[in-house]
Amino acid sequence: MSVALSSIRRCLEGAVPALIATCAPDGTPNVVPLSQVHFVDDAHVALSYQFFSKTRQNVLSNPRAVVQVMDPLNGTCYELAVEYLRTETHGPLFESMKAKLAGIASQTGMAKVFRLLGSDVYRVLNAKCVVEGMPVTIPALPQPLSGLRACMAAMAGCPDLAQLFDAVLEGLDRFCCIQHSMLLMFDAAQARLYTAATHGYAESGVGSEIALGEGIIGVAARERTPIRIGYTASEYLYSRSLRAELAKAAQGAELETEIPFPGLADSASQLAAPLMLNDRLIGVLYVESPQELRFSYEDEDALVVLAGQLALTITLLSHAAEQLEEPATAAARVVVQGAPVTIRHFASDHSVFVGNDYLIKGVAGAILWKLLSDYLNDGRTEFTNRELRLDTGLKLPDLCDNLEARLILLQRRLAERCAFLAIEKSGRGRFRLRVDRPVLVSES
Amino acid sequence: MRLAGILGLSTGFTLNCGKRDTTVATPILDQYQADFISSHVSIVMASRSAGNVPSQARALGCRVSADRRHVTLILPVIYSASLLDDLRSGGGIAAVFTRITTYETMQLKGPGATIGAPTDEDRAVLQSYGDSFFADLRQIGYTELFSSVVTRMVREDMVVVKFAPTDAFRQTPGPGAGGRLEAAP
Repeated sequence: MSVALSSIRRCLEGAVPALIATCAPDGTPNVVPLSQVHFVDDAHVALSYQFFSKTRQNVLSNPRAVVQVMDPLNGTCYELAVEYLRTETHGPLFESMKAKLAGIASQTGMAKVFRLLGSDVYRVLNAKCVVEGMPVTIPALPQPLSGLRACMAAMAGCPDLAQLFDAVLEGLDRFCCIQHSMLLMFDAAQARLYTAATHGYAESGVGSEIALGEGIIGVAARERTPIRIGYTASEYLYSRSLRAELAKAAQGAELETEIPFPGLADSASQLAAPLMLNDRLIGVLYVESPQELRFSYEDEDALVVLAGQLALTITLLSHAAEQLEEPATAAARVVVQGAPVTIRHFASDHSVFVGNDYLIKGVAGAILWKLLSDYLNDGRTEFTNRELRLDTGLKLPDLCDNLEARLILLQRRLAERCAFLAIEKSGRGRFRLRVDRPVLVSES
Repeated sequence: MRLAGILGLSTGFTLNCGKRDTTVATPILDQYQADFISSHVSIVMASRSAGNVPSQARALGCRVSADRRHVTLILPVIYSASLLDDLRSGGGIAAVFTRITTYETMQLKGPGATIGAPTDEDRAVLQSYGDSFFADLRQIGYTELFSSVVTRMVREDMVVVKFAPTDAFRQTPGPGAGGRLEAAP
């Protein structure tokens, strides 16, 4: 009986190795195990090409092949009649498969053996059940679609970005049972992503950065494609390598300007979905779990839809913040007291230190320095997003850069690291600097 | 569900990538290889139609003749229709054998095969295959469910496919996969 390929996607997770039979032009058949069968769409799969094998030799001259896959939950076997079309050696499909293969390789002790040379794309001519599995009760898993709906309902009422970020990440936990998540925004000028909000980690890690192409988040961002791994892949793990690097840097360097990335040390399943607005990258939504094979194709579908909605909502709210200012709310009386604290600014990278403690750098650092300078020079505490955008001294990245997200980052770093400085929202498109202690400034 | 924790690449096979004589003076299989394919390995066969479209089916046991020149595979008829048709039409045969706990894999090929009814000896192989294969399934974390699927397949009507292998290849995952195997002296 023929089945829709999309209905058997869980057979393509790599839990049970697949097999492929091919035939040489002289009629000699060949059958071998396969590392990875990747679902492309309802009419296509991609197989990993790792070595120049007999299989590959055969399909290049006789494109017809048969692939057998098994449902890991009930043992049902399916046979896919396929036809080789082409090989992709770079781009979204390739990178997505490369990351997934790294997980499978690491899980099976093949990390040094498996290397993806290409993604062989096949047309699926027919998919049919060849051996019926056993009737089983599928364990009750959270339904990604209803979780998605609830998350989107929670997003709908958010008046600003800060609340939106929290609503989404809390929603993923509450409605989708995804306990560890983060939202990173894209800084196009620096080709980096900065963490704007996180959920479920001991340290928030807000402000930590990931370079484009680094790990699963960086690759998902660079390739503009969702990437999902069901097994720990050491080359895609941030925590271990980054923590080791940070520890090394902390010992040697006098001034540490890195914020540790908060990722799980024992992350086994990871899913990164880029936030795209048409062809523009806004950021990445990232979720992870210590449980293997935690995220299914359906979770990926849901996260990709959520990421799309998030990209749109972020853009709308940011636009509103700069274009539709509200009058400022009344400020509470602030009493400045205590011993003065020196705040240092390094113009080279706009890093800002409170005493000897690193606070922030980059665009957010430059913004804080401007606010403090205006406060000390003119006693100003009230500001608008728009004036920051128009301030030539700040040299903000282009209009596409999300100023509102930078302010949230700054606001959260201050809340975590500096008790006497705060940025408070005073209306849409406006905010207030609160300084509770005397400050001295030093510029280098 | 976990995949097998691999124990490392096997060196059980002798690899010979050089050109070889196609006349089979000695059996293709040495004793190690004959024992390997007769043990609790996963077995999948392939053939092809007149139009070179491949077919495949799973076998549930393997027996090697005393002189190691013939290999008999036992398979359920109901799940093997295309493959059996292709073999009857004179298509060649390929069979891949994988120990699921280590991924040690080899492939045998032959120019054709005969199809027949299983003997008592074949049925005995079928029984012992199931038992030992279940043990391996459990070892790598598969649930009883998979054993149930195999158990049900074992109860189906069986047929045997017998062939004389003319080539053997190492297929354990890695860069050496596909290399021709020579029987150890």
